[in-house]
Amino acid sequence: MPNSVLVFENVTVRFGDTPALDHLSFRVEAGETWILMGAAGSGKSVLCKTAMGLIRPDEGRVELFGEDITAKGERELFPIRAKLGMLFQESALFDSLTIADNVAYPLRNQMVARGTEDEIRAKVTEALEFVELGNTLEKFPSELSGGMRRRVGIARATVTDPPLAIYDSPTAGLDPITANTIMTFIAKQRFLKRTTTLIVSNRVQDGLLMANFTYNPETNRLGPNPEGDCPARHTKFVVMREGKIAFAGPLAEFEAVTDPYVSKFGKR
Amino acid sequence: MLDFLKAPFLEFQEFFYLTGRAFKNIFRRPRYWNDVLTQMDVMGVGSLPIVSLIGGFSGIVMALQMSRAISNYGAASQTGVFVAITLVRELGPVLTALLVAGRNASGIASEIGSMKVTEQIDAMRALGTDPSQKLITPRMIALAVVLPLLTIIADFVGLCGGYLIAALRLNISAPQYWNSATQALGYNDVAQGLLKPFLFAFVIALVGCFYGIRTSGGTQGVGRATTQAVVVASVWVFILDVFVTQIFVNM
Repeated sequence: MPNSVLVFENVTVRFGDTPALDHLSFRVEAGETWILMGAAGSGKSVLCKTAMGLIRPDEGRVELFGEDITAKGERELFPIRAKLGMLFQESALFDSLTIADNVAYPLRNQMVARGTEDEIRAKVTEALEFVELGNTLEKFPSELSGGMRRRVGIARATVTDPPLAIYDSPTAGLDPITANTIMTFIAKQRFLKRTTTLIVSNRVQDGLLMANFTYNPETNRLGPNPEGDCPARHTKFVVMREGKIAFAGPLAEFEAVTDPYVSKFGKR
Repeated sequence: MLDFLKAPFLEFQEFFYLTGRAFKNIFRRPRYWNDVLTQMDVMGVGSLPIVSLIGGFSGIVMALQMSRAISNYGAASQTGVFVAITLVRELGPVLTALLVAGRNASGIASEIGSMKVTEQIDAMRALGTDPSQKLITPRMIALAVVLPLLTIIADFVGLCGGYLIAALRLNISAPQYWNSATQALGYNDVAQGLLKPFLFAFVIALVGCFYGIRTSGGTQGVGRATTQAVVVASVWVFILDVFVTQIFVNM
């Protein structure tokens, strides 16, 4: 019996008079991978922030790890948010902190015991080595390229090994090689830690990669899905239009869809 | 008409909400003492040169102006009294506060505003820190400590500036100037001279944070927030000044 990690029930978020999310309902089950697509302004980023309790819905309720977060105060939300890692659209690294301090930030500040300073340092190094940036510890975000910042963002989002990770546009504006590297890290994290993953991306290649490939620990690369059950087989494509879900389903259905708006996102 | 009034009232309400949170945080954990010290350094030590410079010049100007006015009554020897009273009661606190508002309310608003538009504030919340606790309260505490100190320094440098004019132009001796200056100051003068910067500090820090945290609309928004913070903080410094002066005048 799969258990729901994130539940939206009839959620509406308005900015002024226009709804950014319009009576939205869905469930994300543990172990699933969601590829969230949609035109600019269709509500993808608002959905991510509402899921974390950063934006409070005007109507409806949001459940995160079985807890209703709709009416919770900021301080009550901290322990629940600690179970969720998020990569923001523009990475949102803290300019005034070094890369190591940025990655250590959730370990030091989330009100859950995360061990001594030595243990934190070891975890930070491990997380940065995971995204192949082990040599940037003492640098500042302004010294890194866009792709590297995105990778630091991933390290910061996953350093606590959260059961749910949300990546808001991890590959937007990057060259195909860097984008591929980043998707490999996300797939690796999904495979090694069994992370439920929500990816906002309009590149259909990212979705195909997550649906058709699995991380292979022996080669440290992505390979075709192995026989039997694996996280990639629980990949779902979701297309949003004007605050509503226009399509949700597995790859086979997504490729067969005839709706002109939805099928545009499936074109390579 | 009602719609026209709604926006400023809403803004006022939000400001008081933020103020309440900032004060409540003083009594709650976690406390970010490192940030308080950093801000003291940035705002206090950083403002020292400009505050001393302006303090010195205002002392010089006051001595020049007063010497001319009071020499008509043959009271040029009392220059120290006038310089001391105007500086300690009024010019020291207000000028220092205006400079600090110009320098630091803008700094706070633009720093927090940039963090807001680059989603760093959201990231902070997502990663387990309350931005009001981490950003606002430390700035408020730091400024409440350093602004009275900066005012004392401005007052002192101003008195020295006044002495320069008294000695060079009016041939008043050092003991005469300093004795008359220090004797002229009562508890009332010193109390209002220190209470004013203490209150101004809260207004400047909170207004800067308030406009920073509600920044929207990219880099243009940051510029707008910065300007608003300086203008509003300066206006509030004067409004508060009237109230505090009114109370002390009646005492």
